[in-house]
Amino acid sequence: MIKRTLLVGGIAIAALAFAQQAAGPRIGAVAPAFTLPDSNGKSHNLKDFSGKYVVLEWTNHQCPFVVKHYKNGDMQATQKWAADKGVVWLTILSSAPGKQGFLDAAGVNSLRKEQGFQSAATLLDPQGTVGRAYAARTTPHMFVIDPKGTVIYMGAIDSNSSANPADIKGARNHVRAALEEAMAGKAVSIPSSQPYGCSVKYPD
Amino acid sequence: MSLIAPLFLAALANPALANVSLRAGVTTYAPNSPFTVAVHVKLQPGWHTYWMNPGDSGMPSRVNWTLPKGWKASELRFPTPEQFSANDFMTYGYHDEAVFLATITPGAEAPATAQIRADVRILVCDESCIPFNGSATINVRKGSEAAENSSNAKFIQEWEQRVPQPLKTPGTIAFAKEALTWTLPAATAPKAKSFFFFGADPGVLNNSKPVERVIEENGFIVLTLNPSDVLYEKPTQLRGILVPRGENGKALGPGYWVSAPVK
Repeated sequence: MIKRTLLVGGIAIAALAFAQQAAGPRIGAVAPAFTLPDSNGKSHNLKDFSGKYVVLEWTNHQCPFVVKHYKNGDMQATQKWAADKGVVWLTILSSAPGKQGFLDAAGVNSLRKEQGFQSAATLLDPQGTVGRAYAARTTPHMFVIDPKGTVIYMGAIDSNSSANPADIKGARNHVRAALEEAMAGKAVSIPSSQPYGCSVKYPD
Repeated sequence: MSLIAPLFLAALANPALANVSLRAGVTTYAPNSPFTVAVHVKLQPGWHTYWMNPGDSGMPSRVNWTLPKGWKASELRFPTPEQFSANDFMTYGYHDEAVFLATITPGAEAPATAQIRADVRILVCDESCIPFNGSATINVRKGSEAAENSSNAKFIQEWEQRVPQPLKTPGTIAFAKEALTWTLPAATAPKAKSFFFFGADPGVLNNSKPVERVIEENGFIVLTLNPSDVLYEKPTQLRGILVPRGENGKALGPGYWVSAPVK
Protein backbone atom coordinates (compact mmCIF):
# COMPACT_ATOMS: atom_id res chain seq x y z
CA MET A 1 0.00 0.00 0.00
CA ILE A 2 1.38 3.37 -0.91
CA LYS A 3 1.28 6.04 1.74
CA ARG A 4 0.89 9.43 0.22
CA THR A 5 2.54 12.50 1.56
CA LEU A 6 1.29 15.81 0.25
CA LEU A 7 4.14 18.23 0.23
CA VAL A 8 2.40 21.15 -1.36
CA GLY A 9 -0.15 22.57 0.98
CA GLY A 10 -0.18 19.38 3.03
CA ILE A 11 1.59 17.79 5.93
CA ALA A 12 4.92 16.15 5.34
CA ILE A 13 5.42 13.08 7.47
CA ALA A 14 7.48 10.85 5.23
CA ALA A 15 10.84 12.30 6.17
CA LEU A 16 10.23 11.36 9.79
CA ALA A 17 8.99 7.87 9.04
CA PHE A 18 11.95 6.99 6.85
CA ALA A 19 14.89 8.43 8.63
CA GLN A 20 17.14 5.64 7.38
CA GLN A 21 17.15 4.04 3.97
CA ALA A 22 17.66 0.29 4.05
CA ALA A 23 21.37 -0.47 4.17
CA GLY A 24 22.48 -2.62 1.29
CA PRO A 25 25.61 -3.77 -0.45
CA ARG A 26 28.43 -1.38 -1.30
CA ILE A 27 30.69 -1.32 -4.32
CA GLY A 28 34.04 -2.87 -3.40
CA ALA A 29 32.66 -4.55 -0.28
CA VAL A 30 31.87 -8.22 0.26
CA ALA A 31 28.41 -9.13 -1.09
CA PRO A 32 25.85 -10.01 1.60
CA ALA A 33 25.81 -13.78 2.24
CA PHE A 34 22.64 -15.73 1.50
CA THR A 35 21.16 -19.18 1.07
CA LEU A 36 17.98 -19.64 -0.98
CA PRO A 37 16.20 -22.55 -2.63
CA ASP A 38 15.68 -22.55 -6.38
CA SER A 39 12.48 -23.59 -8.18
CA ASN A 40 13.69 -27.20 -8.25
CA GLY A 41 14.18 -27.31 -4.49
CA LYS A 42 17.97 -27.09 -4.68
CA SER A 43 19.60 -24.83 -2.12
CA HIS A 44 22.17 -22.25 -3.25
CA ASN A 45 24.64 -20.50 -1.00
CA LEU A 46 26.51 -17.53 -2.48
CA LYS A 47 29.74 -19.05 -1.10
CA ASP A 48 29.22 -22.06 -3.39
CA PHE A 49 30.19 -19.81 -6.30
CA SER A 50 33.42 -18.47 -4.86
CA GLY A 51 35.95 -18.23 -7.68
CA LYS A 52 33.32 -17.36 -10.25
CA TYR A 53 31.58 -14.22 -11.36
CA VAL A 54 27.97 -14.11 -10.13
CA VAL A 55 25.10 -11.99 -11.46
CA LEU A 56 21.98 -11.46 -9.34
CA GLU A 57 18.89 -10.33 -11.20
CA TRP A 58 15.72 -9.31 -9.36
CA THR A 59 12.64 -10.20 -11.38
CA ASN A 60 8.82 -10.04 -11.57
CA HIS A 61 7.44 -11.39 -14.83
CA GLN A 62 4.37 -9.11 -14.67
CA CYS A 63 6.41 -5.93 -14.34
CA PRO A 64 6.45 -4.03 -17.66
CA PHE A 65 10.17 -3.29 -17.31
CA VAL A 66 10.96 -6.99 -16.92
CA VAL A 67 8.69 -7.67 -19.88
CA LYS A 68 10.67 -5.02 -21.80
CA HIS A 69 13.84 -7.08 -21.41
CA TYR A 70 12.33 -10.57 -21.86
CA LYS A 71 9.78 -9.95 -24.61
CA ASN A 72 12.30 -9.99 -27.45
CA GLY A 73 14.85 -12.22 -25.74
CA ASP A 74 17.29 -9.47 -24.74
CA MET A 75 17.73 -10.55 -21.11
CA GLN A 76 17.94 -14.19 -22.16
CA ALA A 77 20.68 -13.29 -24.67
CA THR A 78 22.69 -11.51 -21.98
CA GLN A 79 22.23 -14.52 -19.68
CA LYS A 80 23.46 -16.85 -22.42
CA TRP A 81 26.44 -14.61 -23.19
CA ALA A 82 27.36 -14.59 -19.49
CA ALA A 83 26.86 -18.35 -19.06
CA ASP A 84 29.20 -18.98 -21.99
CA LYS A 85 31.86 -17.03 -20.11
CA GLY A 86 31.40 -19.14 -16.98
CA VAL A 87 29.32 -16.58 -15.09
CA VAL A 88 26.74 -17.92 -12.61
CA TRP A 89 23.55 -15.95 -13.22
CA LEU A 90 20.89 -16.22 -10.52
CA THR A 91 17.44 -14.77 -11.10
CA ILE A 92 15.74 -13.90 -7.79
CA LEU A 93 12.00 -13.58 -7.22
CA SER A 94 11.09 -11.56 -4.12
CA SER A 95 7.38 -10.94 -4.86
CA ALA A 96 5.31 -11.94 -1.82
CA PRO A 97 2.42 -14.41 -2.16
CA GLY A 98 -0.65 -12.55 -3.44
CA LYS A 99 1.46 -9.75 -4.92
CA GLN A 100 2.32 -8.97 -8.52
CA GLY A 101 4.77 -11.43 -10.03
CA PHE A 102 4.54 -14.06 -7.28
CA LEU A 103 4.89 -17.60 -8.59
CA ASP A 104 5.31 -20.90 -6.80
CA ALA A 105 8.10 -23.29 -7.82
CA ALA A 106 6.00 -24.97 -10.52
CA GLY A 107 4.95 -21.58 -11.90
CA VAL A 108 8.56 -20.45 -12.04
CA ASN A 109 9.55 -23.61 -13.90
CA SER A 110 6.87 -23.16 -16.53
CA LEU A 111 7.78 -19.48 -16.95
CA ARG A 112 11.48 -20.35 -17.32
CA LYS A 113 10.59 -22.87 -20.00
CA GLU A 114 8.09 -20.67 -21.78
CA GLN A 115 10.39 -17.62 -21.94
CA GLY A 116 13.62 -19.55 -22.47
CA PHE A 117 15.50 -18.29 -19.43
CA GLN A 118 19.26 -18.84 -19.75
CA SER A 119 20.06 -18.06 -16.11
CA ALA A 120 21.42 -20.90 -13.95
CA ALA A 121 18.40 -20.85 -11.64
CA THR A 122 15.53 -18.80 -10.26
CA LEU A 123 15.81 -18.45 -6.49
CA LEU A 124 12.64 -18.12 -4.43
CA ASP A 125 12.61 -15.30 -1.87
CA PRO A 126 8.88 -14.84 -1.08
CA GLN A 127 9.62 -13.32 2.33
CA GLY A 128 11.92 -10.77 0.72
CA THR A 129 14.76 -11.48 3.14
CA VAL A 130 17.51 -11.57 0.56
CA GLY A 131 15.88 -8.75 -1.44
CA ARG A 132 16.05 -6.54 1.63
CA ALA A 133 19.61 -7.60 2.43
CA TYR A 134 20.55 -6.32 -1.02
CA ALA A 135 18.21 -3.30 -0.80
CA ALA A 136 16.77 -4.53 -4.08
CA ARG A 137 14.23 -1.88 -4.98
CA THR A 138 13.22 -2.44 -8.58
CA THR A 139 12.66 -5.15 -11.12
CA PRO A 140 14.99 -5.50 -12.80
CA HIS A 141 17.72 -4.64 -10.28
CA MET A 142 21.12 -6.11 -11.05
CA PHE A 143 24.23 -6.97 -9.01
CA VAL A 144 27.55 -8.29 -10.28
CA ILE A 145 29.88 -10.06 -7.84
CA ASP A 146 33.49 -10.91 -8.70
CA PRO A 147 35.26 -14.24 -8.00
CA LYS A 148 36.45 -12.92 -4.60
CA GLY A 149 32.86 -12.23 -3.55
CA THR A 150 33.12 -8.45 -3.96
CA VAL A 151 30.28 -6.36 -5.40
CA ILE A 152 31.58 -4.76 -8.62
CA TYR A 153 28.32 -3.47 -10.08
CA MET A 154 24.84 -2.68 -8.82
CA GLY A 155 21.92 -0.88 -10.40
CA ALA A 156 20.03 -0.79 -13.66
CA ILE A 157 20.42 -3.38 -16.40
CA ASP A 158 21.09 -0.60 -18.92
CA SER A 159 21.30 3.12 -19.48
CA ASN A 160 17.81 3.78 -20.87
CA SER A 161 15.08 3.92 -18.24
CA SER A 162 12.20 3.73 -20.72
CA ALA A 163 9.59 0.96 -20.83
CA ASN A 164 10.00 0.53 -24.58
CA PRO A 165 11.83 -2.63 -25.78
CA ALA A 166 12.95 -0.72 -28.90
CA ASP A 167 15.18 1.44 -26.66
CA ILE A 168 17.32 -1.53 -25.56
CA LYS A 169 19.36 -1.53 -28.76
CA GLY A 170 20.86 1.92 -28.28
CA ALA A 171 21.37 1.56 -24.55
CA ARG A 172 24.56 0.61 -22.69
CA ASN A 173 24.15 -2.77 -20.95
CA HIS A 174 25.86 -2.01 -17.63
CA VAL A 175 26.01 -5.68 -16.52
CA ARG A 176 27.67 -6.87 -19.69
CA ALA A 177 30.08 -3.92 -19.66
CA ALA A 178 31.01 -4.55 -16.00
CA LEU A 179 31.71 -8.24 -16.67
CA GLU A 180 33.74 -7.47 -19.81
CA GLU A 181 35.84 -4.85 -18.07
CA ALA A 182 36.42 -6.95 -14.95
CA MET A 183 37.33 -10.04 -16.97
CA ALA A 184 39.84 -7.95 -18.94
CA GLY A 185 41.45 -6.89 -15.66
CA LYS A 186 40.16 -3.33 -15.95
CA ALA A 187 38.34 -1.23 -13.40
CA VAL A 188 34.57 -1.21 -13.89
CA SER A 189 33.94 2.20 -15.44
CA ILE A 190 30.31 2.46 -14.33
CA PRO A 191 30.11 0.46 -11.08
CA SER A 192 26.61 1.62 -10.13
CA SER A 193 23.53 3.39 -11.37
CA GLN A 194 20.05 4.16 -10.14
CA PRO A 195 17.90 1.14 -11.06
CA TYR A 196 14.62 1.77 -12.83
CA GLY A 197 11.38 -0.19 -13.05
CA CYS A 198 8.66 -1.52 -10.79
CA SER A 199 9.13 -1.56 -7.05
CA VAL A 200 9.89 -5.00 -5.62
CA LYS A 201 6.61 -6.39 -4.31
CA TYR A 202 7.72 -7.20 -0.78
CA PRO A 203 5.30 -8.48 1.89
CA ASP A 204 3.42 -5.69 3.70
CA MET B 1 4.15 -15.60 -23.93
CA SER B 2 0.73 -16.21 -22.46
CA LEU B 3 1.89 -15.23 -18.99
CA ILE B 4 2.93 -11.75 -20.02
CA ALA B 5 0.28 -11.00 -22.59
CA PRO B 6 -2.53 -9.94 -20.22
CA LEU B 7 -0.70 -6.81 -19.10
CA PHE B 8 -0.18 -5.58 -22.63
CA LEU B 9 -3.77 -6.35 -23.50
CA ALA B 10 -4.91 -4.50 -20.40
CA ALA B 11 -2.89 -1.46 -21.48
CA LEU B 12 -4.25 -1.56 -25.01
CA ALA B 13 -7.80 -2.20 -23.96
CA ASN B 14 -7.79 0.62 -21.45
CA PRO B 15 -7.09 3.95 -23.15
CA ALA B 16 -8.77 5.64 -20.16
CA LEU B 17 -5.78 4.70 -18.02
CA ALA B 18 -4.74 8.31 -18.52
CA ASN B 19 -5.93 11.16 -20.67
CA VAL B 20 -3.68 13.78 -22.22
CA SER B 21 -4.79 17.23 -23.28
CA LEU B 22 -2.95 20.39 -24.28
CA ARG B 23 -3.84 23.92 -23.28
CA ALA B 24 -2.20 26.94 -24.91
CA GLY B 25 -2.15 30.25 -23.08
CA VAL B 26 -3.04 32.05 -26.32
CA THR B 27 -5.76 31.81 -28.94
CA THR B 28 -3.59 33.47 -31.59
CA TYR B 29 0.18 33.61 -31.78
CA ALA B 30 2.50 36.23 -33.20
CA PRO B 31 5.85 35.30 -34.77
CA ASN B 32 8.73 35.37 -32.24
CA SER B 33 6.33 35.93 -29.36
CA PRO B 34 6.73 33.03 -26.90
CA PHE B 35 3.70 31.54 -25.17
CA THR B 36 3.08 28.78 -22.67
CA VAL B 37 1.52 25.41 -23.27
CA ALA B 38 0.37 23.06 -20.51
CA VAL B 39 0.38 19.30 -20.95
CA HIS B 40 -2.43 18.07 -18.72
CA VAL B 41 -2.36 14.37 -17.86
CA LYS B 42 -5.43 13.14 -16.03
CA LEU B 43 -5.02 9.82 -14.24
CA GLN B 44 -7.55 7.47 -12.74
CA PRO B 45 -8.32 8.51 -9.15
CA GLY B 46 -5.70 7.10 -6.81
CA TRP B 47 -3.15 6.49 -9.57
CA HIS B 48 0.15 8.30 -9.78
CA THR B 49 2.94 9.10 -12.19
CA TYR B 50 6.46 10.47 -11.80
CA TRP B 51 8.65 13.57 -11.70
CA MET B 52 11.83 13.98 -13.78
CA ASN B 53 13.61 11.81 -11.19
CA PRO B 54 11.17 9.07 -10.21
CA GLY B 55 13.16 8.13 -7.10
CA ASP B 56 13.79 4.56 -5.94
CA SER B 57 11.57 2.98 -8.61
CA GLY B 58 9.42 4.09 -11.53
CA MET B 59 10.31 5.97 -14.71
CA PRO B 60 10.98 9.64 -15.50
CA SER B 61 8.05 11.37 -17.23
CA ARG B 62 8.91 12.60 -20.73
CA VAL B 63 7.24 14.78 -23.36
CA ASN B 64 8.33 15.01 -27.00
CA TRP B 65 7.13 17.95 -29.07
CA THR B 66 6.26 18.13 -32.74
CA LEU B 67 6.19 21.76 -33.84
CA PRO B 68 6.25 23.80 -37.04
CA LYS B 69 9.73 24.13 -38.55
CA GLY B 70 12.03 26.42 -36.60
CA TRP B 71 9.78 26.54 -33.54
CA LYS B 72 11.28 25.68 -30.17
CA ALA B 73 9.95 24.17 -26.96
CA SER B 74 11.71 24.98 -23.68
CA GLU B 75 12.68 22.35 -21.13
CA LEU B 76 9.61 21.15 -19.25
CA ARG B 77 8.72 22.99 -16.08
CA PHE B 78 7.67 20.34 -13.58
CA PRO B 79 5.60 21.30 -10.54
CA THR B 80 7.25 20.35 -7.26
CA PRO B 81 6.35 16.68 -6.78
CA GLU B 82 4.92 14.82 -3.81
CA GLN B 83 6.75 12.08 -1.95
CA PHE B 84 5.35 8.57 -2.05
CA SER B 85 6.85 6.11 0.39
CA ALA B 86 6.43 2.36 0.54
CA ASN B 87 8.57 -0.44 1.94
CA ASP B 88 11.37 1.89 3.07
CA PHE B 89 11.70 3.25 -0.46
CA MET B 90 10.77 6.68 -1.75
CA THR B 91 9.44 7.86 -5.08
CA TYR B 92 8.58 11.36 -6.34
CA GLY B 93 5.54 12.18 -8.43
CA TYR B 94 1.96 13.31 -8.78
CA HIS B 95 -1.35 11.67 -7.98
CA ASP B 96 -4.62 11.92 -9.92
CA GLU B 97 -3.19 14.43 -12.41
CA ALA B 98 0.08 15.89 -13.60
CA VAL B 99 0.74 19.12 -15.47
CA PHE B 100 3.96 19.85 -17.33
CA LEU B 101 4.55 23.36 -18.68
CA ALA B 102 6.70 24.51 -21.58
CA THR B 103 7.38 27.78 -23.35
CA ILE B 104 6.86 27.56 -27.09
CA THR B 105 8.75 30.06 -29.24
CA PRO B 106 7.42 30.47 -32.78
CA GLY B 107 10.16 30.52 -35.39
CA ALA B 108 10.72 31.33 -39.02
CA GLU B 109 7.78 29.33 -40.28
CA ALA B 110 4.51 31.11 -39.44
CA PRO B 111 1.59 29.04 -40.69
CA ALA B 112 -1.94 30.44 -40.56
CA THR B 113 -2.75 27.57 -38.21
CA ALA B 114 0.14 26.14 -36.23
CA GLN B 115 -0.17 22.59 -35.03
CA ILE B 116 1.44 21.68 -31.72
CA ARG B 117 1.68 18.06 -30.77
CA ALA B 118 2.92 16.53 -27.52
CA ASP B 119 3.76 12.85 -27.14
CA VAL B 120 3.76 11.84 -23.51
CA ARG B 121 5.60 8.79 -22.22
CA ILE B 122 4.88 8.09 -18.61
CA LEU B 123 4.48 5.23 -16.18
CA VAL B 124 1.14 5.16 -14.35
CA CYS B 125 0.85 3.17 -11.15
CA ASP B 126 -1.45 2.24 -8.36
CA GLU B 127 -0.05 -0.84 -6.62
CA SER B 128 1.39 -1.99 -9.92
CA CYS B 129 2.46 0.00 -12.94
CA ILE B 130 1.58 0.26 -16.62
CA PRO B 131 3.51 2.29 -19.21
CA PHE B 132 1.31 4.85 -20.89
CA ASN B 133 2.02 6.56 -24.20
CA GLY B 134 -0.44 9.26 -25.15
CA SER B 135 -0.52 12.28 -27.37
CA ALA B 136 -2.51 15.45 -27.83
CA THR B 137 -2.60 18.09 -30.54
CA ILE B 138 -3.80 21.68 -30.56
CA ASN B 139 -3.99 24.31 -33.24
CA VAL B 140 -3.09 27.94 -32.65
CA ARG B 141 -4.01 30.54 -35.25
CA LYS B 142 -1.64 33.25 -36.42
CA GLY B 143 -2.57 36.80 -35.47
CA SER B 144 -1.01 40.22 -35.73
CA GLU B 145 -0.38 39.95 -32.02
CA ALA B 146 -0.72 37.21 -29.43
CA ALA B 147 -4.19 37.05 -27.88
CA GLU B 148 -4.62 35.43 -24.50
CA ASN B 149 -6.95 32.51 -23.94
CA SER B 150 -8.16 33.59 -20.52
CA SER B 151 -9.34 30.26 -19.11
CA ASN B 152 -6.19 28.49 -20.26
CA ALA B 153 -4.04 31.36 -19.03
CA LYS B 154 -5.66 31.06 -15.61
CA PHE B 155 -5.07 27.29 -15.56
CA ILE B 156 -1.43 27.80 -16.58
CA GLN B 157 -0.96 30.51 -13.96
CA GLU B 158 -2.29 28.22 -11.23
CA TRP B 159 0.21 25.53 -12.20
CA GLU B 160 3.11 27.96 -12.67
CA GLN B 161 2.65 28.75 -8.98
CA ARG B 162 3.48 25.12 -8.16
CA VAL B 163 6.71 25.24 -10.19
CA PRO B 164 9.85 26.08 -8.19
CA GLN B 165 11.48 29.45 -8.90
CA PRO B 166 15.26 29.62 -9.45
CA LEU B 167 17.34 30.11 -6.32
CA LYS B 168 19.28 33.23 -7.19
CA THR B 169 22.24 32.72 -4.88
CA PRO B 170 22.80 28.96 -4.70
CA GLY B 171 26.07 29.27 -2.74
CA THR B 172 28.72 26.57 -3.08
CA ILE B 173 28.55 22.80 -3.11
CA ALA B 174 31.52 20.65 -2.18
CA PHE B 175 32.00 16.90 -2.34
CA ALA B 176 34.27 15.23 0.19
CA LYS B 177 34.31 12.04 2.25
CA GLU B 178 31.21 10.71 0.47
CA ALA B 179 29.09 13.66 1.53
CA LEU B 180 27.89 16.76 -0.25
CA THR B 181 28.21 19.94 1.73
CA TRP B 182 26.13 22.85 0.53
CA THR B 183 26.89 26.28 1.92
CA LEU B 184 24.35 29.05 1.37
CA PRO B 185 24.58 32.66 2.51
CA ALA B 186 22.03 32.89 5.33
CA ALA B 187 20.99 36.39 4.28
CA THR B 188 19.60 35.20 0.94
CA ALA B 189 18.70 31.59 1.82
CA PRO B 190 15.00 30.72 2.15
CA LYS B 191 13.82 31.01 5.75
CA ALA B 192 12.86 27.61 7.12
CA LYS B 193 12.74 25.35 10.17
CA SER B 194 14.01 22.50 8.01
CA PHE B 195 14.62 21.64 4.37
CA PHE B 196 13.80 18.87 1.94
CA PHE B 197 15.69 18.51 -1.32
CA PHE B 198 14.33 16.74 -4.39
CA GLY B 199 17.43 15.67 -6.33
CA ALA B 200 16.68 15.90 -10.06
CA ASP B 201 19.43 13.60 -11.30
CA PRO B 202 18.83 9.92 -10.51
CA GLY B 203 21.57 8.27 -8.48
CA VAL B 204 23.09 11.40 -6.93
CA LEU B 205 21.23 11.69 -3.62
CA ASN B 206 19.50 9.31 -1.24
CA ASN B 207 15.86 9.70 -2.19
CA SER B 208 14.40 8.96 1.26
CA LYS B 209 16.64 11.21 3.29
CA PRO B 210 18.48 13.63 1.00
CA VAL B 211 19.19 16.14 3.79
CA GLU B 212 21.17 14.67 6.69
CA ARG B 213 21.43 17.87 8.73
CA VAL B 214 21.30 21.63 8.54
CA ILE B 215 23.35 23.99 10.67
CA GLU B 216 23.65 27.75 10.67
CA GLU B 217 27.06 29.24 11.39
CA ASN B 218 28.91 32.46 10.66
CA GLY B 219 26.21 33.81 8.44
CA PHE B 220 25.88 30.65 6.38
CA ILE B 221 23.37 27.81 6.21
CA VAL B 222 25.24 24.53 5.78
CA LEU B 223 23.32 21.51 4.50
CA THR B 224 24.89 18.07 4.61
CA LEU B 225 23.35 15.96 1.84
CA ASN B 226 23.28 12.16 1.82
CA PRO B 227 24.61 10.65 -1.39
CA SER B 228 22.77 7.80 -3.07
CA ASP B 229 24.10 4.32 -2.40
CA VAL B 230 24.81 4.14 -6.14
CA LEU B 231 26.90 7.34 -6.33
CA TYR B 232 30.44 6.27 -7.20
CA GLU B 233 32.17 9.49 -8.21
CA LYS B 234 31.93 13.20 -7.61
CA PRO B 235 28.80 14.49 -9.34
CA THR B 236 29.52 17.36 -11.74
CA GLN B 237 26.46 19.30 -10.65
CA LEU B 238 23.67 19.39 -8.14
CA ARG B 239 20.21 19.96 -9.59
CA GLY B 240 16.89 19.82 -7.85
CA ILE B 241 14.33 21.57 -5.71
CA LEU B 242 15.12 22.98 -2.27
CA VAL B 243 11.87 23.02 -0.29
CA PRO B 244 11.83 25.11 2.90
CA ARG B 245 9.61 23.73 5.63
CA GLY B 246 8.06 25.48 8.55
CA GLU B 247 6.47 24.26 11.76
CA ASN B 248 5.39 20.61 11.70
CA GLY B 249 7.40 19.99 8.56
CA LYS B 250 4.87 21.81 6.39
CA ALA B 251 6.25 22.90 3.01
CA LEU B 252 6.47 26.67 2.59
CA GLY B 253 5.50 26.85 -1.08
CA PRO B 254 6.90 24.91 -4.03
CA GLY B 255 10.53 25.67 -3.18
CA TYR B 256 13.47 26.79 -5.29
CA TRP B 257 15.13 25.27 -8.33
CA VAL B 258 18.86 24.82 -7.94
CA SER B 259 21.38 23.99 -10.62
CA ALA B 260 24.94 24.48 -9.46
CA PRO B 261 28.35 22.91 -10.10
CA VAL B 262 29.88 20.67 -7.44
CA LYS B 263 33.39 21.68 -6.41
